[in-house]
Amino acid sequence: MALLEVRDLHTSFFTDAGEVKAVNGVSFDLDRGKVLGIVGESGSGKSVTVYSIMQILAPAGKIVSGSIKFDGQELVGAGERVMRDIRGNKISIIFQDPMTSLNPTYTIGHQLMEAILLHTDRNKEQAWDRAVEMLKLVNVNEPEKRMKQYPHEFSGGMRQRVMIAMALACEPDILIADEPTTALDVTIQAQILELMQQLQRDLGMAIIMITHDLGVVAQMCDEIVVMYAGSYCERGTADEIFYDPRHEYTKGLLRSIPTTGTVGQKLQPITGTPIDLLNLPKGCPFAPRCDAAMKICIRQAAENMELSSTHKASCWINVERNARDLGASAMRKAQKVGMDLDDAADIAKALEVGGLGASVLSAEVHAARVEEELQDARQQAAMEVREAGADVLPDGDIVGDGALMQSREKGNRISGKRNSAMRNKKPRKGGKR
Amino acid sequence: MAAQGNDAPLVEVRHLKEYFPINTGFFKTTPLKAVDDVSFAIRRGETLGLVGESGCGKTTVGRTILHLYEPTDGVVVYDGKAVVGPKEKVDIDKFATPADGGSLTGNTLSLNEYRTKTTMVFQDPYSSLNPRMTVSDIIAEPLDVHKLCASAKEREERVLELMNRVGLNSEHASRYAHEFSGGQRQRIGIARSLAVNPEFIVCDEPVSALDVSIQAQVINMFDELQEEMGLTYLFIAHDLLVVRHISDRIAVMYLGKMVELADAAEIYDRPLHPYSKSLLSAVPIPDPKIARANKRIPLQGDIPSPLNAPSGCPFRTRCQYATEACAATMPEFKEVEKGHFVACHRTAEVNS
Ligand SMILES: Nc1ncnc2c1ncn2[C@@H]1O[C@H](COP(=O)(O)OP(=O)(O)OP(=O)(O)O)[C@@H](O)[C@H]1O
Ligand SMILES: Nc1ncnc2c1ncn2[C@@H]1O[C@H](COP(=O)(O)OP(=O)(O)OP(=O)(O)O)[C@@H](O)[C@H]1O
Ligand code: SF4
Ligand code: SF4
Ligand SMILES: [Mg+2]
Ligand SMILES: [Mg+2]
Repeated sequence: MALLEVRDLHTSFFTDAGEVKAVNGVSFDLDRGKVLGIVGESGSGKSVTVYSIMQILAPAGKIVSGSIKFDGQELVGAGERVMRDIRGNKISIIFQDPMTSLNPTYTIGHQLMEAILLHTDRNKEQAWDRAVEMLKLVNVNEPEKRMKQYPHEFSGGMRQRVMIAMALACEPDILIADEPTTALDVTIQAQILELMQQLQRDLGMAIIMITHDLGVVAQMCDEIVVMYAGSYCERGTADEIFYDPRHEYTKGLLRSIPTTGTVGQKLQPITGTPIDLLNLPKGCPFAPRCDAAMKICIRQAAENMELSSTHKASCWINVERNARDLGASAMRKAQKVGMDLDDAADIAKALEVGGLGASVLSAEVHAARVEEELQDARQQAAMEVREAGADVLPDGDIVGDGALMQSREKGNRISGKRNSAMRNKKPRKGGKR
Repeated sequence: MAAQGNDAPLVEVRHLKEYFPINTGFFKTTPLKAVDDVSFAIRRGETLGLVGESGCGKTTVGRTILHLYEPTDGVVVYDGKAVVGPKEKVDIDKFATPADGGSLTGNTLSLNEYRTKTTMVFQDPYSSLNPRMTVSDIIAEPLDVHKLCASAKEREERVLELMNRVGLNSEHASRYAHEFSGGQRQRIGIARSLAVNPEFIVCDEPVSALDVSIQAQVINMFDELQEEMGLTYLFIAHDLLVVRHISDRIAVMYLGKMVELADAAEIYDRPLHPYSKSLLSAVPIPDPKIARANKRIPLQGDIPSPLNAPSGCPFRTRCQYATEACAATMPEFKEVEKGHFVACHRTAEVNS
């Protein structure tokens, strides 16, 4: 059992304009001592996901469905008393915006001590010492003096470190860090990250790290969840996500990072605007911005495909890639058994170009089943070609829109030919029966 | 007026100091030396990146250059003219050079005029925009303040032109800032900054709060605006990959002082100052294998307080190369190779 199990979480905001589906269908596990990274576009639901875990959503926000288990205990619907015990003691959070989460009218010391007194058994004096110790730990200079200062007297990065100190002071089982190092320079960031890693090793603390900085993700995270429009479009180990991304959004994200190679060139942002969560499309939510979008992407969202035991992605490209691989290998087999190549190529092409509707395709499969009993290895190979396509092409329509236009004529020709071929086949089959 | 070659600096910062009085007891204040004797120049059309530890004074440098803070000492020479506020008491002639003819007092730029040529883009697109104002009013605010539009119609046209320039849709004009995404809000902020038709913009972490892809859009936009309008930038950022991408030259600060300045590629590939070396080694590389194998040069010791800076070299308490000489005197910020400035007593030894 994982320390934290999130299953099919749906969280919405019920606003005057309608239901904003901020999180729709996020699942992940977090084991003790592991670091999970959540990346994704601004507004993709990263913060709302973790706010749901903590149940600190704005009044309009509500967990609609799903399950969140901490150490086996269901938190969804568990009630405020349970959550008060969880928050701060078991799970603490570093908020994205340190300025709004620090109270400008109280000193830093007051706020730190308040958090410590609330969540631990320390008395005032011990809390003071602990607060000073934590400030030291996050590298705030002259901590005793700083305790008496107000947030506006701190630089942005210093305020952020205070927030980190506050979250770590209670030694939580899970630390949720929402953009913890955005305001920090790299050397302090390195120290803070090291501090987190140390607590993770020594105390077995698990970390959920939300960040836009893919460098930090690469360095820190065991596993990565990539979010788009409220759900995860891809999940995998750091290596899988960075070296073998399988969702077009992830690929775009990785392409837009500046590197030493981009100097003097334009960066490659993902074009288009973020999706409207009030009106989620029925197809892939990334389709309007995806260069590789295919017709099927607009009609139907891709299922989560399991690419390895740790790697999952919801992108039709993988199916297409799969289909091509399968198609090519079936072609080779067909060739080997000496199948009429024109026939095999026709079938393969038809599958690939996809002029066929689902019904025609299933008729094909049906026909293939019948044939199977009757034909020799040649037909068997032909069937493999078909099944390669039929299995992986639920819609038989895996093809880019542009390509589809171009191949419409060709496709029509092929399907016309195929229809007539089927007509020709049927009497033959009937004859044999 | 100084001769205007192509390389003539647009902004010259001479011995700039910004001290904040801090209460340290009853009726006692101590100056917090946020910026302590910093000098550098930015060429017209150039992007100078400014990096350094959190709290080292980058924002303060940016704000003081724009006279959003009154300088404690030192002078900003803009396009050959010394900038002076109405109540400022700094003796600017102390900082005159032979090129100024030995005096700056006769050659000044009023703060009002300076404010129409310069502007700032803030880090936080979330809190820097007034939630009760429409996008159009936010963008027009500087136009109103400086009375730059004769009529309501002209104002509207100018706002639409600015929105267009930063890639915002004209139908966004009547909406409120909180209805926009971070990237869009940053565009609104930039459109507002461009309203006065500035030549020089201090960008204080303008993309830090944005996600990578939107960050790329905004960086490209900064690039394009520079090409189209010949803008000059001081670009403050933590993300060294971003700074490397956008800057022509990069300056490194530590504890209120400038410690290194050079060409972007040069400093990135061959930092000479021990602090810059450590800083660059800490850049997280977006590649797990490299990131895991990366040898960071960790900084030992506490960050000294600007209230109580170490004697001599400010970095000496954490520098592995420090010697007694480093505690005795502050190293001079000098050109050790063409265009490469370093403030370190031991540049040669450190880099041998
Ligand atoms: N109180 C709220 N009322 C209505 N919608 C909200 C509210 N809070 C968040 N949302 C919406 O939920 C979506 C997800 O927001 P969230 O803050 O989780 O994004 P994020 O991924 O954390 O983005 P960022 O990287 O910018 O922090 C957004 O589209 C946002 O507009
Ligand atoms: N208004 C102020 N009053 C008092 N001290 C200040 C004020 N503004 C800044 N400081 C102090 O001056 C120093 C420099 O702050 P500054 O904000 O310029 O740092 P920075 O380099 O921009 O840091 P960061 O990267 O965290 O934004 C810090 O020690 C800070 O505490
Ligand atoms: S499913 Fe289609 S639209 Fe969505 S990311 Fe993949 S290729 Fe693009
Ligand atoms: S002057 Fe001395 S202490 Fe300062 S950076 Fe150089 S070697 Fe280190
Ligand atoms: Mg967020
Ligand atoms: Mg700053």
